[in-house]
Formats: sequence, C-alpha cells, structure tokens
Amino acid sequence: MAKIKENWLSILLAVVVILSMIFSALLWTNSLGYEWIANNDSEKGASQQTALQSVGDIYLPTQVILTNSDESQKLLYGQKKNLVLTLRKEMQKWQLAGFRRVARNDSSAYLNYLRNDDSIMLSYPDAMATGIFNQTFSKSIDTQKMSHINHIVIPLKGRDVVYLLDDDDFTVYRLNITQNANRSKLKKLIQNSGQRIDVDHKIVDNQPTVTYPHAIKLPVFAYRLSTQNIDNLTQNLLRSTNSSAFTVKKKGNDTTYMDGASKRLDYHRDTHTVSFNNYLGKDSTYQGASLYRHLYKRLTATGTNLDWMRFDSVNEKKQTIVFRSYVEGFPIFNEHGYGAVKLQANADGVERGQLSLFGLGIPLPIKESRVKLPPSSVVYNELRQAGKDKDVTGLRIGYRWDDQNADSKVVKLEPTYYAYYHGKWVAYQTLIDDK
Amino acid sequence: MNFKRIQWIFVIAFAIFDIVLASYFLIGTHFTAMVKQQGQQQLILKEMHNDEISFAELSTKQPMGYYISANRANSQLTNAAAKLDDQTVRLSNGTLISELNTPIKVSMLNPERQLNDYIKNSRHVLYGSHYVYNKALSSSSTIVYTQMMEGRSVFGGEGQLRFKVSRNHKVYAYTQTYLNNIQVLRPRSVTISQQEAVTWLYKHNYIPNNSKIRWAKLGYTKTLLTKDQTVYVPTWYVEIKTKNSDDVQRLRVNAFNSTLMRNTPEEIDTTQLNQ
Repeated sequence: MAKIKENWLSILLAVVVILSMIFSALLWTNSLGYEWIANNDSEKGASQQTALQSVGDIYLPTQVILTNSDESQKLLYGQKKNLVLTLRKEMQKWQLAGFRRVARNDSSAYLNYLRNDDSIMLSYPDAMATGIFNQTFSKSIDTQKMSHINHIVIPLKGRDVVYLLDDDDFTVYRLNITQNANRSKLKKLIQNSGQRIDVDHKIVDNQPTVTYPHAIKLPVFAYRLSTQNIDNLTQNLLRSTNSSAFTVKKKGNDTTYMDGASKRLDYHRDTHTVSFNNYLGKDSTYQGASLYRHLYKRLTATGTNLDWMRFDSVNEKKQTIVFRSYVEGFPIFNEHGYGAVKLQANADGVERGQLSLFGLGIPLPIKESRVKLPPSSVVYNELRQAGKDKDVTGLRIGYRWDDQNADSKVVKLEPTYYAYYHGKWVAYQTLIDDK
Repeated sequence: MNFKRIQWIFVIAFAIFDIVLASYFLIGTHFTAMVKQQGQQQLILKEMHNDEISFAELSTKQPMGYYISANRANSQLTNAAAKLDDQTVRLSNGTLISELNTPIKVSMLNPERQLNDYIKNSRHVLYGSHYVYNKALSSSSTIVYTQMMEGRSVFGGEGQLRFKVSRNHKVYAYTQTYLNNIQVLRPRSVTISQQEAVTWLYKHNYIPNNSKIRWAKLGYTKTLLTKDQTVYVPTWYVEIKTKNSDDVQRLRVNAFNSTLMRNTPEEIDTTQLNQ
C-alpha cells in the first residue's frame, strides 16, 4: 500500500499511456472515425445536387409483411402512405429498454418469430449493420451484441415489444417499447387501402425465404429514363486533388480514361456501362457500419440519380455492396446492370465500381395492366425439371428492365421471378429455356 | 528539472491526447455530419442577410409529396356546364368563361369570405369544393382559387378559378380550368424543406442582392407531358421582389431533387409502353 502511495505518479503515467495506446489501436482498426471525416470535403462535387437521399433513406427496409392472427401472411405494397417511411417515423419516437436475447441457432424458433401472429414485419433485402439501423431509426442498440439485423417484427397485440432478427445465426433480440408504442396508429395505418398479396415465410437451405403460395398478379410500371452524361460521370469518379487532365484511349467500343496511374475508368459504349478502379496503395478493411457509410459516400459521389435506389446486398468479406433501384418494394433487374451500382471498398488496395449511365427518372402513367405470376412452388418445380435447382440458391420476385434502346426515353418494368444462379440474379424463364 | 516534474508533464500531455482521441469516438461521425450540414445552412442564411436579402423565418420541416398524374384535356367542364345557374357560360380550349347575371359584392380586405360560400354551391361553380383560396397568387383585381391535389395547390394555369374584381368591389365574371382523373403514381416520399429550397436558389445565384423573398409555398407543378396525361411533381414556388424596383419574379424548385423547373414541361412519347 505504501509503495502504491509512493509511486502513484508513475502508475498514473502508465495508465494514461496504456489508455492512449488502446485508443490509437481502436482508431487504426476502426476507420469509421477519422478517415471518413477527412474524406468528407473532397467528395463534394460541383455537379452534385442536394443529397436528399441520406444514409437512412438508402439503407431502408424494403418489404412490409403483415401476419394475421391465423398466421397467414400478406405482403403489403402500393400503399399511398408509404408504409416504410411512415413506420420509420413512428419507430423514431419509440423509447426502448431491456435488450434481451430470446433465441439463437434455432431455425424453428426463428421461423416462429418470422411468423409471429398479429404483427408487422419490416425486412431488409440483406443483412443491415446495426449501426446503420440505429442511425435510421434513432436508436442505440448494442452493436457488439447484435452486429446485423435482417427483420424488425412489431407485434400488434400483447406486450409493447419489438423483435430484431438476424438471419445469420437465427438470433432474435427482444426490446420493450417503454414510450410512444402508438399501436392503434400502426393498426390503422395498415388497415388503410393498398394492395396485398399472400406470402409465406419458409426456411429453405438454412435461409429464411419469402415464398408465394398462390398465383399472383402484379402491375406493370413505367419510368422516364434518367441518363447521366459520361463526361460528368468521369469527372465525378476520377476527380482528384490535382487538376491534371486525364488521358483518354479509345479502342473499338471501349474508352479508357486514366488519371495518372492510380485511377482508371472503362466506358463500354455499346452497353452504356462503366467500370472503374482506384488504386489506393494501402490495404484497410471496413468493419460493420463503417463499410456501409463509406460506400454510401462513394455512391453519392458518382452523381447517379438516387431517387429509387436502395441497399440490395452486402458481402463484408469482399467489402462489396450492391445498390439497386426498387419499385414498390421489389428489386429491379437488368442484364447490363442498369439502375444498379456495385461498389467495392478498399479490399486489396483497390477500390472498384460498376454502374451504368442509365437510371430511373420520373414515373409515367400507363394503361393499367397486370402480369400473372405462378406460385413459387411451380417455379421451383420448373427449375428442377430443367436441372437448374441445385445451382439456384435464392428466388425472389423482381421487375425486369428490358434491354434499353438508347433512343428510347422510357422504361417499362414487368414482374417475374428471379433466381440466384452462379452469383447472379437471372430471370427464371431464361434459366428454364437455357436447358 | 527533477524526474517528478518530467513525469507530470508526460501525464498531462498523454491525458490531453487521450481526451482528443476519446472525443472522436464519443461524438461519432453521424453527429459530425449533422452538425456540419446544419452549420452550413446557418452560414448560407447569414450570407443572405449580408447580401440584404430579407425573408421571414424558413421552415426546416421536410414534408411528404407524390408524383401525380392528371388528364391533359377533358370534357368534364363542357359536359357539366349546363348545370350552372344565373350566369352565361362559354367554353374555350377547356377553359370555362362565365359572366354572372347577379354580381357578387366582396369585401375589400377579405374577398374570399363571400366567394368561399359562393363556390360551394354546385349551381354556381362546378366542383367548387376542389378549390381553395390562394392569397399569394391573388391581387386586388383578381382573386385566385387553386385546385387541390393531395392537400396542396396546383400551380400553373390548369386547375384554377379566377374571379375578376371591379373597382367597386364586385365580381362580374370568372374563368375556370379543371384537372380530372387525378392519380397518385407512387407512394409518397420526402421533399426538401422550405429552407433548403430557398438556400438552393441563393447558392445557384437565382436570388439578387437587396431583395425580399415574399413567400415560398409547396404545391404541384407540371413536370412532364404524355400524349393525354400530365405528370405533376411537388414544387417549392418562391416569389422574390427586388427592393429598389418593382421587379417581381417567381421561381419553382423541384422539391424531390432540388432542380429548377423548366418553363415548358418535356413531352414524352409513351405509345410503346401501352402496347
């Protein structure tokens, strides 16, 4: 005791030194803090408009599913009120307490939560970092305990609670809503008019999946095409601190733009697509929410129209996020990737991106027409008969953006099933025809 | 310098270093970004004051809006015109022009008081309940009512009731345009705030120095035409008056994507979509 008293100053010095080492280490491994702030200013381009689509707008859940008291499930769409935005507003008012794990590594228990009777569920298309969820819904969920969220289940009866579900290890956390649960408002909101279709949650190959038990009819949509100028895009993507002009090389249908030796952009004129590489020379990986934030910043820097853009999928190992245009909660696919942006953060010292000049602009009124789709089981069977089922690891309904004729200023979107086949979403009809 | 003193200096130096590092974590990026944006807006507002641009307090609330379509030409007014009483009606290019047999006496300060009651009667004005008095667009000689779309005014020539007021504060005639088959095209989404719309105009040099922003209102404006329909978009409509002269200009900012609206909406051929 006497020794401690004697050496207290040395001990204090040791403590502050160790503390500074811990903080420094955290800062190095977690690039969220410093690097992002430092990059902030350099990314504001003159061609950029007021970024109306914030982090919380791009990283939003896309699907709203209502589970009735008999456990039947309905997918809600075509709701004038925009359920996702309205629910976000309500959830931002909630006060939460008592973060508690109620299930883990138990797929049948997990399925019970997915099919919780008398509840509304908001689902992300892929795992969302909890830090981003916190930012979107003004919450402070412990990101150490729960790193990702796939679904938010809000029971409409019983205790005022909310469940957060993580598909990865079938984990469910429960929180009590201590203030502003506002259930009657939520009930009224979902009772209002809008479209609903029968769905059914199943766990297929250890993966929670939305299936469609009956044939359904979905509307056709149309948009004014929004085109970005290739010169603007190259400016946005190659812009560097020094104002050196970049070199341009043309070869057939491809044009390569280089800014020094570190930035390269390839423009494929025939398909109107662009791929770019940025050699950063240092290898650092982004963890959790910092990856989502970093790639959101890179997305806004492209200058692409973000009006209909949503987070679609993530691969943290490959440091990649795909952003995709959505209509009424359904993803939009095109074989050239129109309306989608794929970005890879600095994984091996290179930052990469794939996008096109085309996006969706103003929605257009068209003569009402609906496309009839078979039940998911029929689609699975057809895939099996075509011998493709073993390579298919996912099935979802999406909208097909037909090949864009460059002269056409309009885009027509028609619904169909998409199968995840060899790392790509392919229209199921294409797979079946290609025997 | 003794050893203890050196130790003290190190302790203080490291403690400061720790506090700086810890503050990075505590404040976090979200907070920094928000403060930055708010601060930028405040800076722009201050700059505007320095440039002698005056305005009332601007709202930072981001309201919701829709993409909406309506029919371009319609025979609605033509078909219903026969129902009107006590007036002589003719139609020209979809506009109903009416001369009243019995003029309406209106008050000088609040002319809408008498007219609000008048238009509610379907024998006086067709679909009168779809219109709301618009003070900003009215003057001493013309009282303007705008048709409402999802709770907000339609700006532009279509969807208006215009009452001509004579010097003796009497209304002898009115004109009417009407939009029908109003359809919401997509679920609602967030628009920019009044403050963002005005600061956007300032940043892009649309607001001259030494001027006054009289009003900035959110409504709907034509953005695109198809063969038989019009697409409307939420728009901030801003009136600016130069202080030294009587110059008044009205500007429209697209509230979904912060761009200045074109004067003539684009025409799009959608025949291939309807096949």
